Amino acid sequence: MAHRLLDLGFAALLFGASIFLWFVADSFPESRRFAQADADYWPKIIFGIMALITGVLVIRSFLEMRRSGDAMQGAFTMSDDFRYTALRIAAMGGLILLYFWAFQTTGFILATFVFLVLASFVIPYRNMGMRFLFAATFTVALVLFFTRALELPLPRGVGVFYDLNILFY
Amino acid sequence: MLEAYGSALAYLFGNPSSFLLIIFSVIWGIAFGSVPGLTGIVGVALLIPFTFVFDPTAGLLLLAGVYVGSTFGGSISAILFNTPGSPEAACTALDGYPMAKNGQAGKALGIALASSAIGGIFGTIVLMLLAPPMAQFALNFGPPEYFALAVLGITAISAIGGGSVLKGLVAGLLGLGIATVGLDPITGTERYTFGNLSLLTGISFVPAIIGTFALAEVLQRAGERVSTKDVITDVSTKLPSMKEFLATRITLLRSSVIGSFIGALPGVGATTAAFISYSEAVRWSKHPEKFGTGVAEGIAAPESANNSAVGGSMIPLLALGIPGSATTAVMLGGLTIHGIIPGPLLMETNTQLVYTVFIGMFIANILMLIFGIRMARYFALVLKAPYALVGPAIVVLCMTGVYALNSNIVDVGVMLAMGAFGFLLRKLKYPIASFVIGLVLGPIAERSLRQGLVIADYNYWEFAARPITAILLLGSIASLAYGFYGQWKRHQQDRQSQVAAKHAG
Amino acid sequence: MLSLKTIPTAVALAAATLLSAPAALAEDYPSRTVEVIHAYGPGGGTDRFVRAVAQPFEEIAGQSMVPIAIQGGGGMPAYANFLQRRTDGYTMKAISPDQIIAHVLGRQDMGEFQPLARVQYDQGMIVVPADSPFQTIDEFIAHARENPGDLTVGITGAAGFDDTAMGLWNIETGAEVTTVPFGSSEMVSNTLGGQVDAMHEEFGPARGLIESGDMRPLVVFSDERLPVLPDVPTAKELGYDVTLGRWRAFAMPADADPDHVTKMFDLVSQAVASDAYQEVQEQAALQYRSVLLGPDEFAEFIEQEIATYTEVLTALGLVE
Repeated sequence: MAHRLLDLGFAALLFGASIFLWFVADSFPESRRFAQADADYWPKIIFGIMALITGVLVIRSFLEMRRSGDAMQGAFTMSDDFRYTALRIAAMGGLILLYFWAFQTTGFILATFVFLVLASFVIPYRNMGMRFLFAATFTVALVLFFTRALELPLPRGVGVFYDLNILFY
Repeated sequence: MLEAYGSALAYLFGNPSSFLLIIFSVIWGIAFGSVPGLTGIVGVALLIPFTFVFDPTAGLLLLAGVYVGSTFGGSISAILFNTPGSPEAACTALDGYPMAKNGQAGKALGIALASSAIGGIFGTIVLMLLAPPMAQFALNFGPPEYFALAVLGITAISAIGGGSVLKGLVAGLLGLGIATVGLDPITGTERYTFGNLSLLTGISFVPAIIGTFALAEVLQRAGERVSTKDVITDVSTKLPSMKEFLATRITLLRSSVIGSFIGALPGVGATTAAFISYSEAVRWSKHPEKFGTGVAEGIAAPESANNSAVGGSMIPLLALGIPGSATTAVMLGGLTIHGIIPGPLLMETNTQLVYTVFIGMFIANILMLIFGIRMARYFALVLKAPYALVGPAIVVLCMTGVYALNSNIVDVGVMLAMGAFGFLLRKLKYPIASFVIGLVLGPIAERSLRQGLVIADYNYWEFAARPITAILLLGSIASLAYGFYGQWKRHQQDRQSQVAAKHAG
Repeated sequence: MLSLKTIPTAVALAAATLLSAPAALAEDYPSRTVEVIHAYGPGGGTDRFVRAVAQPFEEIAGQSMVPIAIQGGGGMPAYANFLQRRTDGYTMKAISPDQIIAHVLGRQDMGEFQPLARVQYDQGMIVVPADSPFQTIDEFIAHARENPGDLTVGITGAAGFDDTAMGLWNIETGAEVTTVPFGSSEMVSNTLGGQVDAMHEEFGPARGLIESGDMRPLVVFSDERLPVLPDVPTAKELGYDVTLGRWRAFAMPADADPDHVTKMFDLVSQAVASDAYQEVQEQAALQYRSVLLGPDEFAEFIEQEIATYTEVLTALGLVE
């Protein structure tokens, strides 16, 4: 089953990561004054224990998978339902990353409006006009609330976007 | 003292506008608390310039009202959208949102509100009656005691989550581990920044919880085929019935006591109080495995604790001039501008100011009940809107709030990373509660352990051989063992019943 | 809703045209809001400092000045934001010893700043709880010399300003103490509760506890005794050159127009001289040695600070 494989993979990843981070801690610069409980003291405890437990988890999920070995055949076939879900989540995740990039580059207004419109297509919804109306209203309301009422700065973007945004806030 | 209350009442009735101020500040506080990213600290800080218009007493009333309101406000969005509006409310989302998803949003909000008011009033009464002795008692808490307290909270991880114990522990350790990113609290050296100087202060708590809760939730719901907007149907907020209420009375009392005391400890505030009392609620519960699925105690514990911590954190501020939390630190700055010198003499020389604030906070908690119901109802209307609009709007609000909090784009990046990570943890059934407890209590545990060791000259025996520390540490070990035993026993029972079912089938 | 001013679109438009012009005329400067970036929380000491200057500044310059709080990241995000912005005279940065430390540690470069005005200059003290066995600084020093590292002193933050001040104390006096880094309020409660022997704190935040008799200052790190504490000796009069204090100041980008620098310093110095600002400064008990330094004197002062901090941070093992 796919989730068993994922479980094993994640536990193995954490096991590897905790060993790696333990050694990173080992290479922290030493402090003369606090040598007896230095910067690596606590992280080494944490990642040491974590390596132990995730090690056990890896072995356990491996054994479980062996036990139900025949279930492995279905591991790589995705059901339609799963594919649909994964696609939606990936689309939303991608849009959020795009928004994060645009947030800094084009400034708040443009990025937010476009994101609100695009993201509303990920989830089934019929009313086309409402999408745009809502996106516009919400963007304007936020700009007014943050920059006027609270006087907190919003990102202005870079280059030509900076000049454009400075007209508004 | 009676005389002091007399003059305080005389002030309040002599300045009827002060009642308006309290009303305004509670509403402002609830609003601030409920917007993700905008915390009570920002709410208080933004109002400080406006306090110049008023006399110091009215100014402090305004700030205290915001503090009271914002601590509750965060729970509204935590319950309705799994988006903790303020860090104090992160813990409330653990059971509040599942309860709302079970179709009982109104009940969840009602419990949160009633617990908040009770906790808040309890904290205020402690503040009124016990401020100087409590402040003195809190001074006995040095680094070893802080460490033991944090450990006590962390060990509850062993009892949390109906699933795998090992996964619970790993989730907790992940939280503890992530909390070590940034500048070392003792030596000031960089840890796990991998050359990225923007990570120097590490993974800030507010972006981290907004990511793990809110963003992960939006991702989750984006993948659902059926629109779940119909699931949360009951949005009318009503206070819990007397019977429901009495069922949580012990949790309420325990959490209020924990909250007001932890609030009184300088440097730890409402967020820690909420998590520790949640841990205790799980530990003492007869059905610990149900936590996280929407149980009343899981909402009552953190909400009563974080609100009683509000009164608690005013204790060291008013009795000693030491702020008990980040918000009271900002309030201290506000007092100074008004020419008031906070310190042990404040309660003697400015009796009217201090006692007016006591009464003001009392009124604010009662007003919170009234306005809280109303505001929660307005907020709940959002649930009727289609998720295609609400989901993206939550993302935008989280991004904007987190950005505006520190104007720091790195925080937004942290939030996104933690969103993806939280989503993964959820999918793989690692309990989020343990993860967040590790994240909150980890820094306190590490810092105070190492401070204590420096003071004790690295003598572990000297570190632990202090009455309060020893009791708390022994208690943690006992409960850790008991937690494992309980989980093991449940596991055995499950297996037996499975076997029995198989045989029967 | 609560906005104090709504900037009319016309002004904003005018500002935009000015922006596109290569250099704004000095007479018209400043013609829009001046933004002061700082690396601390809203409502914190630096935020209040900028606001205190901003209030009279607005009356004098006819333009507002607003603090932009870019918290966290050891001050790096604030620094990065400051460098990212264009040099047009409308972006300033509030700086403090933290920038000097970041410079010495190689994280920031003081060369990116055009020093404008040092406004506040505070003084630290060693403070003990009332029941401490040490009545005078001499007893404290004597004990520390006999038992190096035995005395613990609470400080705020790790490898920061307090650490440097106490590090300099250790170097200058040879009376070595062990520093224990805390958050600022925990530092006070741990000192009051007797968990540590003493703390390093400025006069302003500690005065409530001093006036009530819960704490006693033993020594003050300044050139002269504080008029409010006539009996507390300075380290200098005991023969130790420890006068390191926290300061708050304004800086502009290194390539700022010299005319803008002159004009801005003129405006800031008027604002600082105003009664409104002076009152706020006195309420925070920061008036004792807060002498306003102009661009040149301030630049010199920064040079000296860098030298001192480099020496101490090297001795502490934080710089190679």
